[in-house]
Formats: sequence, structure tokens, C-alpha cells
Amino acid sequence: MNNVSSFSSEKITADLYPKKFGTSGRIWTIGLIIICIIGAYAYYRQLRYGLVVTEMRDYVSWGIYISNFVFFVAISLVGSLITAVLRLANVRWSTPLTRIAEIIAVSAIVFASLIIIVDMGRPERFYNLALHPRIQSPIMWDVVVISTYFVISMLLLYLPLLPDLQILNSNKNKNSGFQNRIYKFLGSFWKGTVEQFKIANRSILILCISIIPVAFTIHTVTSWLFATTYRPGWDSTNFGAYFISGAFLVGGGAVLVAMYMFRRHYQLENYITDKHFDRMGKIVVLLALLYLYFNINEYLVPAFKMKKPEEEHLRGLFSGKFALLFWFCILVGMIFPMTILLFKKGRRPYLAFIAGVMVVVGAWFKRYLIVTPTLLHPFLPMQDVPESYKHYFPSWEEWAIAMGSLAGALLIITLFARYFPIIPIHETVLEKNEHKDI
Amino acid sequence: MVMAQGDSTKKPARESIIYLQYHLENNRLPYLKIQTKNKSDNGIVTATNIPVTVYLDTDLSKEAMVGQIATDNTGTAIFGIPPSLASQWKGKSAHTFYAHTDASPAFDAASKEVSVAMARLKLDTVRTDETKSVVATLEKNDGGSWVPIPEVDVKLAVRRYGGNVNIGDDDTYATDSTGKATGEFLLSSLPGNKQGTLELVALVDDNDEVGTLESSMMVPWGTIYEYKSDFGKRSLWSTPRRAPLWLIVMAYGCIISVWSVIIYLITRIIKIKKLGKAVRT
Repeated sequence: MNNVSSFSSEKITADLYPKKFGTSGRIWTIGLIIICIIGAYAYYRQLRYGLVVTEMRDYVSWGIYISNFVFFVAISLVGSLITAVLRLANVRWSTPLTRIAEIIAVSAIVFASLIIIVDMGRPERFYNLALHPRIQSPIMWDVVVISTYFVISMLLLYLPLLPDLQILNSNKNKNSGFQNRIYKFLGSFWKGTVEQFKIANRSILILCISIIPVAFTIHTVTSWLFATTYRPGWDSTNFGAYFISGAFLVGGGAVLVAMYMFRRHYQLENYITDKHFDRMGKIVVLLALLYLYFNINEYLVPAFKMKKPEEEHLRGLFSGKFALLFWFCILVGMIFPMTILLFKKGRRPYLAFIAGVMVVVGAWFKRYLIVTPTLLHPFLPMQDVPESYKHYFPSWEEWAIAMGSLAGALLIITLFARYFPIIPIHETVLEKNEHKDI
Repeated sequence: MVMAQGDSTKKPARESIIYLQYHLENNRLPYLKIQTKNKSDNGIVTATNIPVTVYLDTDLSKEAMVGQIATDNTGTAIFGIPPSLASQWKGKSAHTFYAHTDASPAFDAASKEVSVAMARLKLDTVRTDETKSVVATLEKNDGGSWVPIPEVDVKLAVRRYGGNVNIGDDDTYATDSTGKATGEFLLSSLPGNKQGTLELVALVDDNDEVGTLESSMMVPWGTIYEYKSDFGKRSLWSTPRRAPLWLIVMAYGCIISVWSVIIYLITRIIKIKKLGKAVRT
């Protein structure tokens, strides 16, 4: 592996320039599009026949749609972690990861918004939320915060992209006509003057400062959707911190996965190095420990008291019908990846990638466990209701829509990487020059 | 599956039941409360819209038929004794009511009878300097004169929205040899209406001899309660325009401050764009 500081600017530009899909890229993209189409068809059926095509009933009225929503909101927090926190802490090694983190954040927040609309029985009435906002409702707060976070994330993706757009605009012969039109529209005005850089850098700094409280708010408010409801498993003052720590963990895991995939398929070994995996792995260990701490708080303290209404819910998780999933989430979502990443060998790219996959998969099911078992354990006994009300397993339409939304988020990331440099070219060149100067 | 289908073709065993209760409120016109229910393997289920024929004193005699009524959607019917039966009613000290239903797809043929002695329940209060008591007197008609009925449990209570609140520690008070049941009123701080009025209730519930008797009276024994509507107040559960001020200030304060930053940043992008155009020109 070569040191980037020895590379010429031209080589860096050539290495990081957006590339056409290879065979695997095409198969991957077509696969994602097919999953999206199946999801769209399932949603058409839901619109046509109503929410009855789902398995959600009177008790479980939030199924995998809301689990998926919480997952998307969680994963979107990675933008603030990698871009803002590390940038403000003057951590320079994270430069190649900033755009990966930001596009994950943007794609996740887009589908978080969409999946909420999917969960609505009458989506055509969505506009009423804007016409008659009820500021007392945490759902309204969530709508406001998600919109705000989306705009800030877009700005944080766009502003650092401007210098790269100048590079893309200056290599018209390398681009298709479609690409040139996009690049021209987005960044033809960027000339790289001192004044432009000054304004852009200052704006990015302001964004980095602003996005942290907004990111904390977005997931805290999402946690309040649950915690402001008096139910076993949700009635917790700890939920905001618990959700945020979980969000940072899944975001970190997602970055590990994305780093590996981009490094491998775009031959970025010189830019996303073993050192990046090593450092990112250490961050994920820290985040896993933090999330484990909050999990112990969330489950052990109520289990110690074992209040009657909580008992059935907790026993269902620890040793009942949700036990397999619960222990899968604890072990595969936290303990195993943390154990792998604790060791230097475990922080090598492939093992770190495996740990990242574990974190992400565990996190998705963890959201399912936060939403569903609580809804199946109301304070009042379930009496005189059809048997189907007492259980929940998503219908094929719900699975198709949920998987379609995940595929959609991946498709946005894939297409972004196809048309824009997934590692900032200008910043990499700049840092190389700084290294030379030193 | 095949077995289940086979079983489902069998007509489930059913027993149709009529519930018949005699009621008298405030010693006025008596009435019958009739309920129709079907008992099967699935439990007891209300049977609705079932016609019931009622007879007085003689069963199934055309002359004794006093009327026909159908149960409503809750399987209940209230049958008032017609004024035309006043002389027949007053002629005897005890009466028997018979209720019958014919067989129908929804209900089998069934019958039920209930015998009651003509009785009355009087309610009064006794107040001393230190105590307030409620006295209920239960008497029955015996050959034209009223005689006390001892050893009958009477509930003494105050009527509230959701039911009755006992006036003291005991659920019921037994009548003595004079037919009186006396209970001390211990609810000294119970809210009444605007004038502090409470409704006292004496209840003999489904007694074998006299049926269900209930009498009530208003007494100024409650504390004065004036309802103050919270409808117009700002609260978390009110309409959007009535949100608490602190919430409005906090929420809109956060929204305005963050969006001010966003708008400022958008103006910065416009500025960058203008600078770029200036370089071009």
C-alpha cells in the first residue's frame, strides 16, 4: 500500500474520479431496483386495499414500518458523528469517510420520511399535518426535526462537494452529457477563489456546530414518541440517551460496511486504509460499550424491580417468545462485534466489515424489539378480541415495503457514488500537500 | 381441517334463558325488566330483538296476558305495568308474573316466572348535632295494611356518576323488627352540586320476596361544588391554538433559531454563486 502523500494530484483525481459500474455494480444496482419495484407493488396493494394487507391490528399498530423508521433515523446520525464531531475535534484521518457518512445520513433520512408516510392509512391527508400542526404532539416535533435534519444533512453533503464539482466540471470529456449537465447545474459557479473558500469553510463550520444538537434532537424526539407513552418497555426517562447511543453504534457499523464495500469495488485501498478500519473499529467498540451500558440500564433495572405490568414484557424478552431475537440483538448486535473489534487483528478490513454487518443487522432487529413486544403487552388484558390481534408477524407486503425502503436507501448511496466522488478529491489533495509541507 | 368442517355443520347445543326482575322505584309504578340470553359452549350471549309475552297471576291464559314486548339491541326490555290493571293490581297483596317466548331461529321457547309481594321502601333522614343518619323502612301489603319486613339487606348509598357510594363502612344494613334499616352518614366531605345537594339512595336488590326496590331523596349534605371548565385553558391536550405558552416559546424558539441558521447558510451559497459569476464575467 502506498502513502497518498507521495501521489500526484492527477493520480489522486484519477483514482477518486467517479467510475462506471462494472459487472458486479450493474448486478447490484439492478438487484436493488428489482427489490424497490417489488416494494412499490406491495405499497400499491396497501393503497388499493388499505392497511388490512398488513398484519397490524388494534394492539400492534406500529409494526416493522415504525421499526424501520427508527432504524433509518438511527443510522442517519452517523453524518453528525463522522462529519461534525470528528471534524470539530480536528480529527484529520476521517476525511475519506466524511462523504460516505453524509450520503448514508441523507439516504437514511429520506427513507425515514417516506416510511412514515407508508405507515399512514390515508397518506393523501398528509398535508393536514402542515395545515393543522399540533405543536403539543411529539409526532409533530419529529416531523419538524426530520425536515430540519434533512436540509442540514443536504447542506453538509453539498458544501464540501463544491470544490470537487469544479474538478468534475473541468473534466468534461470524462463525463457523459447527463453528468456534465448535473455538475454544471450544481457547481458551475464554483471557481475556487479565496473568498469562496472562506465563505464555504465558515459555512461548513457553522453546519458542523448546528448539526450536532439537531442530530441529538432528532433521535431524542424519536425516542419520545415511545417514552411519552405510558407502556411497559417504553416508560423510561433514559430513552433519549439510549436511542442516541444506539444510533451512533449502528451508524458506526454502517460506515465500516460502506468503507469495505467502496474500498473493494472502487479499488480505494490507498485512501481507505487499514488504519481507517483500525480507528473506526475502535470507535465502534466504544459505541458498543456505551450502548451496552444503556441496554443494561434499560433492562436490568426494571427486571430487578419486576413490577407486575413489566414482568410479562420482560420475561417475553429474556426467556419467552422474543428471547431468540433479544439475545441475537444483544450478542450479534453488540457483544460479538465488540469482541472482534477489541483485537487489532479484528480491526482488519474484512473482519471489521463482518463486525459492521453484525452491528447493522442486530440494530435493525433491535428496533423491532423496541416497538413490537411492548405493543403486545398493554396494561389491560387483551379480552374478547380476535386471535390475530394477540400476535404480530409482518405480512409479505410489509416485508416487501421494508426491504424496498432499505434497497432504496442503498440505491441512493450507490447512484451517488456512481456520479460523485465518494472520497473528497479536493480535500485529499489538500491534505497531501499539507503533508508535503510538513 | 376436514374434522373441523364436519363439526362445524353440527348445530351447537343451546339453552335459551329469560331473566325476569320486578322493579319499583320511589314507590311509584312498578315495572318488569326482561332480558333474553342464549347459553352455549361459547358462554352466555345476549339474544336481541326477541318477542316476550307477559302474563299476570295466571299462566298462559288469554285473559291474564298483560302485554307483549320485544327485547332491544342489548337483549333487554322494560315492561311497565299498564294503568288498566290498577284494580287487579290492588286487589291482591302478592302477584306472580309469567314471561314466555316462542321458538325462533334466534331463541328457543322459554318461560320464566317471578312472584313478589306488594311492598314499599321509604327513605328518611335523622339529624342530630353530631351525626346524620339515613333510615330506610321496608313494608309489605298484608290484607290492606302495611307491615314491616325484618331481616332484609338494604343498601344505603349516595348516587354518583358511575354508581353508588356507600354512606358508611357497611355494604348493606339489615332491617329490624320494625322494618327499619339505619346507617350513619359518614361522607362528610363528598362534593354535591352547586347547592351542595346529594342524592341518597336506598336499594333492596333482587330480593326473593319483594323484588328490586329503590327509593331516593335529595339532601343538602354535600360540599358545594362549582364546575370550572378547563376547556378554554392552555394545555398539552387542548387544540393546537391552545398549546401552553412555554411549549410554544420553546418549540418555535428552537425552530426559528435553527432555521435562521439554515436560511443564513443558504444566503451564503447564493453569495458563493454570485462571487463565481463575478469571476466568470
